[in-house]
Amino acid sequence: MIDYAFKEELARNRERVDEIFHYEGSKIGRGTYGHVYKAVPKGISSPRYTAKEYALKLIDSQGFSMSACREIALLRELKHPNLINLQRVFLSSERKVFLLLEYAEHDLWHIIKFHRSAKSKKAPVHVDKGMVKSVLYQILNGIDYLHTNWILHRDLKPANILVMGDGDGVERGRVKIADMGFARIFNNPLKPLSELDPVVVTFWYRAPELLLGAKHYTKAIDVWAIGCIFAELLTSEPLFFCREEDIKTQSPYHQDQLGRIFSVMGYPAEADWPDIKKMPEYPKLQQDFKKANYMNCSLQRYMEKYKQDTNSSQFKLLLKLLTMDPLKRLAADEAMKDAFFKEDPKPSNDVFGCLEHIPYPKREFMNDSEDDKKAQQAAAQQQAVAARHAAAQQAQAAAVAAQQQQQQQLMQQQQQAPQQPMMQPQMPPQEPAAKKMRMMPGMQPQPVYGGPTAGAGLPGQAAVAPGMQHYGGGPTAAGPSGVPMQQQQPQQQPYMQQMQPQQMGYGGGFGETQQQQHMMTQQQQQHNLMMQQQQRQAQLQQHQQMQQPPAYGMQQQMMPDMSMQQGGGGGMQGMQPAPHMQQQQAQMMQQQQPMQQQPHQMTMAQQQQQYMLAQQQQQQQQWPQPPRYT
Amino acid sequence: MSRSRIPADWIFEEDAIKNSPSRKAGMNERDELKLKREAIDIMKKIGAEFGWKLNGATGAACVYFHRFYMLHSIQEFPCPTTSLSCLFLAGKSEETPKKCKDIAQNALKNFSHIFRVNLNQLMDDVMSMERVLLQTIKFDFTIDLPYRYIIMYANDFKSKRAFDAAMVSDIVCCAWPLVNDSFFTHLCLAWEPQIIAVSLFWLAIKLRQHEEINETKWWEEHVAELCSDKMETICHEVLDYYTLMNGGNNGGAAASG
Repeated sequence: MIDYAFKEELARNRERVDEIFHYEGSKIGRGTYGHVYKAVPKGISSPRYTAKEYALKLIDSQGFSMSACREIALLRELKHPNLINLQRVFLSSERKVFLLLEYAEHDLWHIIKFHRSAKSKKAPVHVDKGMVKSVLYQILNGIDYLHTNWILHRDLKPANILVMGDGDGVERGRVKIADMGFARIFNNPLKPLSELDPVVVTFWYRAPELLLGAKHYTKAIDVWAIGCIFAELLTSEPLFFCREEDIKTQSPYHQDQLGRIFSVMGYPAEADWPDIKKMPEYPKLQQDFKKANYMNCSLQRYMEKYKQDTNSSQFKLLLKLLTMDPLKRLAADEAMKDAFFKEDPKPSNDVFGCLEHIPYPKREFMNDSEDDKKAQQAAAQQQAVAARHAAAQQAQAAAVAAQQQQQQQLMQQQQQAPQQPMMQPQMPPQEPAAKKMRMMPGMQPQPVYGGPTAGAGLPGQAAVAPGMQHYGGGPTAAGPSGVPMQQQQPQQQPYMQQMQPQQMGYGGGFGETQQQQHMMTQQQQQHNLMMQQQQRQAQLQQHQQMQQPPAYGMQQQMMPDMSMQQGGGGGMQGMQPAPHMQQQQAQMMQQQQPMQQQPHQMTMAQQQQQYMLAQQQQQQQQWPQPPRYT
Repeated sequence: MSRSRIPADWIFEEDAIKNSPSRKAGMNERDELKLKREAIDIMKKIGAEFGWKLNGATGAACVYFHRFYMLHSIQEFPCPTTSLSCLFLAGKSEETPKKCKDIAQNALKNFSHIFRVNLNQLMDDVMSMERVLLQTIKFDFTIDLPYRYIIMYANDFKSKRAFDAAMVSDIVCCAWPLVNDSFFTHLCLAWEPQIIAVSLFWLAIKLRQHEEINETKWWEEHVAELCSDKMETICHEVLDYYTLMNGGNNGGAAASG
């Protein structure tokens, strides 16, 4: 009909990404949802690209996906020295989306890996005395900025914390937080964020309340992850390292991960976290864990094993960041005021500080065939880490066991030894596990231009949704409670299936279990959905009672026939397509629908669960992939 | 398109609005408004079928649409396809996405007299248009609409001034459709959403015959230096829309569906 291609060509004004940048063959990272390239501007063609190098993130989807939309919307608005800065967005004629970002040579995943391997070679890296402090301060600074703007990062992990390298015009040693693909504005959520896109945040950095089924994401969840990264910076080992092979698919509850947290931190006393009883998974927790098994565990002991001074303000801050009770956990801005940062050495903008030469290697390029090789290498490295951990954990478990024996002797109990966490010898991995986990069919709905049925594996859910959306958009202030009603609308239900995590700092990202998690809460959601509908109907009735066709007085004559506002003289119905009667009918239908569909839904879930189990059995003895940097 | 003229906040001078690309290309004011209103009507209807709200995706789509035609002419990019692309994008930016196919199907079903192509062609057009749209609006997806300010002012009236809740919601019920209909005008190009909200709330208070409230100059704590003359101008723009629709010969475009 119209020659759009031609017009678009004009509109783009020769702003094609491959004409401006060299990036082919310069892939520096790969995640589940795209690729990151190092992009170098081509000569003088474009004076607006002054930096020597950029990172170009190619979002792997057909067309302009919703997560791309979200990431761009956030990045566009955010400006802070500790957040990666979006320079430009390119759209290619093949409907690809490219984000042009600042380039950062290093990231904490690589830095920690470098430290770890140096440690094992007994040739520790020389770093600036204040490096960890500076890194931590800048992370907190960036996150505080996000939090004050009502945004949660939700996927903090070392791979997403970048550090600028050397170079002209580069802010050397500046921390940049990356990968906002998951970040969300949370000041006015339409519904519990956990339902919108269920579990995010890599397991190891996941706060205990999330593992216990918390429904809302909070600032405290980001702070916990920062605590984990802090500890990892100090010891070069992931604090809550955990194998992830038996992921429970139906809930966020993760026994091994919780076990690992308790074996480091100790089991929380009731006084420490009074609300733990209110957590959805608390009964399970009680069933699976015995407090007595963790009597000898504390963060202090753990850190002392790594020869860390636990009388320092450093350790005290770590404790405050890793507080089990999310309500008592320090906020980012409070943490920035901590005594630790007032002591010398003071945090600096350049985390490498006095170091003249940055010891960490530069990013390497990879190509697709290398991907697999590197994945194997990475797996081998993990194996080594894992072996060390297994040893450490066995030692710890032995200690726990010894304590238990003592207790038993003391109490002269003849019962069997209680469950001993982390006792099973851990088998070495046989092949990189993560890819398989991610590639499972049905796990990963393809984003099809933001459609509701994109979650092809879940027809029931998708079918409920269109009907759900008939609630009208009236003026919310008129609601009797003063709570805007729209906020309770279950409108977005079906789309969670296609919320695609964009797990790439620079490619280090790794979206391991998230697709699986997407399905987990199906049943829960069905339930919630019904509840919400019932509430909604009650509200709507009230709402309708309140509603009168507004009389416009003298203006009434002048009002249009409001054909687009068929409800009640264009009053509160706003854009309602259907008059009241239809609406109520639709509602009744909606109420029935989920009930009819639930059995079906459950069998779907069960099938998936069985499939997962089968997969897991196949994959047993394999290691989960930690934040991967292939 | 002349990029240099885009204000950072997308609020344009009256002159710029009067000299829009379509006008410069020879279209008269009435035709421009008529075509735009037709397209906004498409957006409202399809949005409503999806259960979208005007203070959600549909409203954002309308604002994208208005902004788009400050940089491109209607002669260059016909309104109906643009409106579908605006819907498509707004669905994603407001996190209530719909498939391109659903939007195109809906358009063909309800507006077969406007869209005279087959489904695949229309989908292709919408997709291509989306890219032009994205670049035109400079990936500026976050749209602030007047609705939330209406709610804010209403809450203020109830809490700070202890006004009768029923009266306040009566006023809100009057202000809300005024905001709905402001999308048919160029107001969102000329004024910040707060100012539109204050003005239409002010008008609603007038219409519901609570003039004594307006005498307190309640808006001064929300928006500085806004005089009633200015508000009147803003309100007239919306009121003119109604006059135009009832009295005008071809204002019926939006009312006919």
